[in-house]
Amino acid sequence: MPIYTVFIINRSGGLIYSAQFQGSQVHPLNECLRLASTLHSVQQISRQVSPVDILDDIGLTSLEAKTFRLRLYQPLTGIQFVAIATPEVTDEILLGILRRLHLLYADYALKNPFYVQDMPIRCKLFDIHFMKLMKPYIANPVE
Amino acid sequence: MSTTAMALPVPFLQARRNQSAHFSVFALLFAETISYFQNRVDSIAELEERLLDLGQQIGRRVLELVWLREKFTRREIDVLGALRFTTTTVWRFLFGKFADSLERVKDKENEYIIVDNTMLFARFISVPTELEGLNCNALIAGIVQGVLTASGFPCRVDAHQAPPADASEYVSRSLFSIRFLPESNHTF
Repeated sequence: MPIYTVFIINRSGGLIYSAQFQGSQVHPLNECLRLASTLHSVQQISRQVSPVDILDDIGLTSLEAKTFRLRLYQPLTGIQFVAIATPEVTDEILLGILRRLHLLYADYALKNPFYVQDMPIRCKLFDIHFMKLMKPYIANPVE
Repeated sequence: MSTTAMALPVPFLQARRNQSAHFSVFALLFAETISYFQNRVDSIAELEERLLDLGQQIGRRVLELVWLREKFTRREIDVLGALRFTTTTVWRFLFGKFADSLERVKDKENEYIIVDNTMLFARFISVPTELEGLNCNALIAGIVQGVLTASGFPCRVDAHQAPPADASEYVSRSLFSIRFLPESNHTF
């Protein structure tokens, strides 16, 4: 039950971190950027049209298809964590992973004085801990 | 002014050891400190120097506070005693544990090394390649220098990074090399 893709999208729809794992078709980086900003727009629109006004978890949160499951986690700060996996991976597992990813982001990116907010994440420790988090869910990392 | 107004607030002195600051908050403060200095310096060496200066100011105060809280009545009068005091009491006060080892540099009269395998301060910091060589533990080096200098042993402390002892670990070991100045070789 592998995870295919993980994205982190900033508040303005820019892709700041992406990882693609074996088993899926690997997209070039430009395509990832386009996908991320499209997803961001869809999420924002779905938030706007939501008939109920609950702060937590409104708008697009998950998407199920025959061949994959997409889960989106957006904390109050507006940043978006996206994971795409095979349909066997349950919603709870994916949400758990994304919450832990949020924790890693808060620790290893935001508490790193050399990281500029809303810019692509290039922190060695973040990469190390990200791979540690993903290890049980991937077959073989591509990059 | 009455004498009670002059006294230090009691809870401040009686604060128990386990009443420590939350690590996340501290890490954020440390990160902000570094980026504050980073905008005001031109080189890596200057940034480390600023951190060292800040650490010295903290060190002087830490020494006083440790003395008051731990109710020490004895003053360390030789270099080794002061070093042991730093690696045990001061270290426990700051980080909640002892330093992993204290070594004397071979063939050198006045040089010592403090080794710490899990340094908390820089846990979340990954230094980018364009700043290779910057060591954020310069702040702790400054604290050690401040403590020792205020105890009457002027010295110069440098922070170094060493690869982890265990290959599976990714947190590098921190070394603090202490070089005592000639005037600290006195006996009381």
